[in-house]
Amino acid sequence: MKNQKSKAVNSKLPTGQRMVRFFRLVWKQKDLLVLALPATILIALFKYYPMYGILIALKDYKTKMGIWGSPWEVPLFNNFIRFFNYVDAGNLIWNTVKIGLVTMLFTFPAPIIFALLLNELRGKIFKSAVQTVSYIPYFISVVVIAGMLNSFGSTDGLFNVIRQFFGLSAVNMNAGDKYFLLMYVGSAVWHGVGWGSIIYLAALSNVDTTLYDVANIDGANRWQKVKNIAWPTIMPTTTILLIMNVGNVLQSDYTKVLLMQNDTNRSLIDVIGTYVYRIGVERGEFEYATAVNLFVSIASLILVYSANTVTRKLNPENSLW
Amino acid sequence: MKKRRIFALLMLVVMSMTFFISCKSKGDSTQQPDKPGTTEGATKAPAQEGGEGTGEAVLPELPNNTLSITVNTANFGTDAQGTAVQEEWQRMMEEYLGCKLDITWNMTPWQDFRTNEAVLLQSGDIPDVSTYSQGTLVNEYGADGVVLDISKYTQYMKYYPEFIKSTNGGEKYVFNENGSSYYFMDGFVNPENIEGAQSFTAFAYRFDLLEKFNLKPATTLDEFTKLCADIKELIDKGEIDAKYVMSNSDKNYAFYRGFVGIFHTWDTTYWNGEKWSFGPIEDNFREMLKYINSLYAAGYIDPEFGTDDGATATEKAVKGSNVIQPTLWAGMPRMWNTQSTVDGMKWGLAFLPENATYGTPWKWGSRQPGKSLSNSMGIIISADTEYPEWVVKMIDYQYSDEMIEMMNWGIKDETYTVDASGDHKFADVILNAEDPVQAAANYGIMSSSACRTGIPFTPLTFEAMTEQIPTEPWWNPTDGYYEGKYWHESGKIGGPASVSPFDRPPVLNLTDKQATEKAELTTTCELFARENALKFITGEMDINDDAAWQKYVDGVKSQVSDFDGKLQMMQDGSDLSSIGK
Repeated sequence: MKNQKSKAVNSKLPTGQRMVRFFRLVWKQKDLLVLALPATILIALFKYYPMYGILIALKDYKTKMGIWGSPWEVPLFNNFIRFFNYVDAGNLIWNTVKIGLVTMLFTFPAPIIFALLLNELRGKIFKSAVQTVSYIPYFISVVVIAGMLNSFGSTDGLFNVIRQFFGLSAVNMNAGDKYFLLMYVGSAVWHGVGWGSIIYLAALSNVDTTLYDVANIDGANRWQKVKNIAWPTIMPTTTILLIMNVGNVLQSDYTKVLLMQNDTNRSLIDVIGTYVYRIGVERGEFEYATAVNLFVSIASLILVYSANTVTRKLNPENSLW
Repeated sequence: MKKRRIFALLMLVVMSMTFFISCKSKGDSTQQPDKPGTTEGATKAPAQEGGEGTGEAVLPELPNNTLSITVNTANFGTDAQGTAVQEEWQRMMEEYLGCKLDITWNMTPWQDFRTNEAVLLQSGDIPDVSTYSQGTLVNEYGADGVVLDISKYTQYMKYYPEFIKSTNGGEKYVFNENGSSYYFMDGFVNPENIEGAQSFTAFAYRFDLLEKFNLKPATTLDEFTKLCADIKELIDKGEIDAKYVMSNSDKNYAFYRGFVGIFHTWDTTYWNGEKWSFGPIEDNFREMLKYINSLYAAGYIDPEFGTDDGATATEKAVKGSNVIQPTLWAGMPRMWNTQSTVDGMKWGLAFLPENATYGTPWKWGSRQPGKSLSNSMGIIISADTEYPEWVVKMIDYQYSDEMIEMMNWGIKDETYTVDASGDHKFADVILNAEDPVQAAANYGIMSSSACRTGIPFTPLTFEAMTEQIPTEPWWNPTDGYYEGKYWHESGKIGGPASVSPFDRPPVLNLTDKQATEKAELTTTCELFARENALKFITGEMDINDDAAWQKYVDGVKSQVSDFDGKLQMMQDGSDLSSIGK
């Protein structure tokens, strides 16, 4: 109400006075603006400026002529048409969606659950130790992880030693796609659970401790406290991260997929990212690779927009915009 | 409402920025062709001055008599900078050119270098000189004006033309149909006509076990099958402590690569002696798959042959998990023997067994006699380099006899000696070192291949390369077990009959676009073939089923548009008169 009133007053002021008000406001918030400046420059430089390069998806790109100077493709969407005519395009899209969805299904809730569990720990030293240990995998290179998976998944590897301990026979887990998702998603959870939990732990640290005192007086058990205090606290963060994660469904970790590929599983686990790597980096077909990636980006944008629309309808407070 | 306005404002800013940047770049790109040295006119001018191949043409004046350039090259394991040979290279080059050299070296590990080459070329921002390894693909970038057309600077070349003349196909091999040439090709000096193979021409066997059980490496395919059966029996009885008869050395190499030469085929697009062909859909290839499938069905092959990476496969080899390795690089047996964890383990090599139907197996990577060029690798020059005349003259000097000798043998009387008959020999400090190749590399001797001085790729002398390579255990039916070197032994045992037609193909004249199509045919179809050939080997697909084979062939062809047309394109672009000339 107060905002609406000031807006109405502001719109009635002459332009000069409105400018003065605006700059006063800027001056008043200068600290916050300076704080946001590096991030804004970073995003403008590395996210918006390169967007100009998208144009080559529609061009017959000639290096020396530059992006703008290169002739337009005939027909304009030739590179997109080429992708959809590619015999394996359907397979690539399906694999990407499948791997992305399953990964999100497990990697998204894992840090939340981990953070809620950590939050319930009482011993401060033990809690810190667990937290620190959980961060370590995040700093291990994906190349090393892929090498570990190849070694652990072989018939003599660690995974088979565990299988044999439980009376199961040894299998080559690197062959085909039977164990691929298990190893891919399992390693992704292990890799990111600790690091991903930081944001939720930060949100949980904002809980008003008197709520817990009241809950204790009311005789609430641990589960009830998690359900009625901790979970509602991290709900807005969770929703925003979920919306953003939906956009990553089509952006699988192609480096790991590439490293886990072999002649027994290539087509079964080939994703758009690995295909773009082959045509873009290895073969240098920038315009075609850009078109394929642009298709993924547009699809991701639609997914994010849809997720946000659904969220806004369900709970407008938690939507991104 | 307010949110919508902010959103609209944001979009407006983004769109304006994009438009502004687009317009700015438009201005930039339209100016580029006017830069000196990039237009046809600018590069043609010097060509009119001097005679071709004299190297005596007039050179433009350099500021402070110093040639300042940036060179992009790779680190092949040992850093070339600061080595004795690199310093001598600079001294000799400055003396020859009569100017100072101010070179900024950009060094990248070789694997990373290769991965990023296409990206570098596509960026259009290449340094003055760069090592190059993507073959005729450079034509596309040459035609686009990114890479210098060195054919317009032949008057600054004195030594390179000698290599051109002695290469099969001569000028037709080096220059494109329109007369252009966009890179100095990789050179080889093979005075003793060693027609050995680079790799994939011998199977590795556990010699210690063969000798213990009175077995011998196979000379025919029938003997090989029998040998596998004998070894399997010994493993089953527990007399040989191994899990399988054979395995692969790395998942990145198709297991069948060790067998293709036996069946006179190849694992990708190749010249088969009569025409360009895609090996994995040939009948010979199918026959080979039938044979390997029979080995797999008999339980001789480790089921993990397609999934073990290099580290896992090496671990198996040094722990004695298998007795035969059919697909491997030269030098691997020596490495396994050094790293072995099994007492008395002795991996050794024997030439590929012969298939009665096809005769002597084909070997891979044998070079021509004398001086020759190979178009798979080389050196490119930026079209934007300021003094192309000087740069061309500089690279050309790397093909001179004195430079070749220095780079391949090092410093006279320090790293090598020459006797009265002119024979070269490495000094004891290299030959008696624990690792002679590394000792040579530490001096910067490029024939070690572990350190490449100068601007790679410079001509390689086989004599120098083979002398420093340590011996590995070998076997042949005449001499029995002995110590030998891969290049020598594969040349001696296989003889001229084993030189494969794909190592002596006709000159291929393709446009830049056709060269790109050829690359697509090779890479895309090869990946599909590898995955499906593996299914035939393991029996997941029936290799004896004609319908399954036809489906596979159709699948390979479907990977690119107009598969047969692309092969015909290569056939039409071949200069058949150039074969063997």
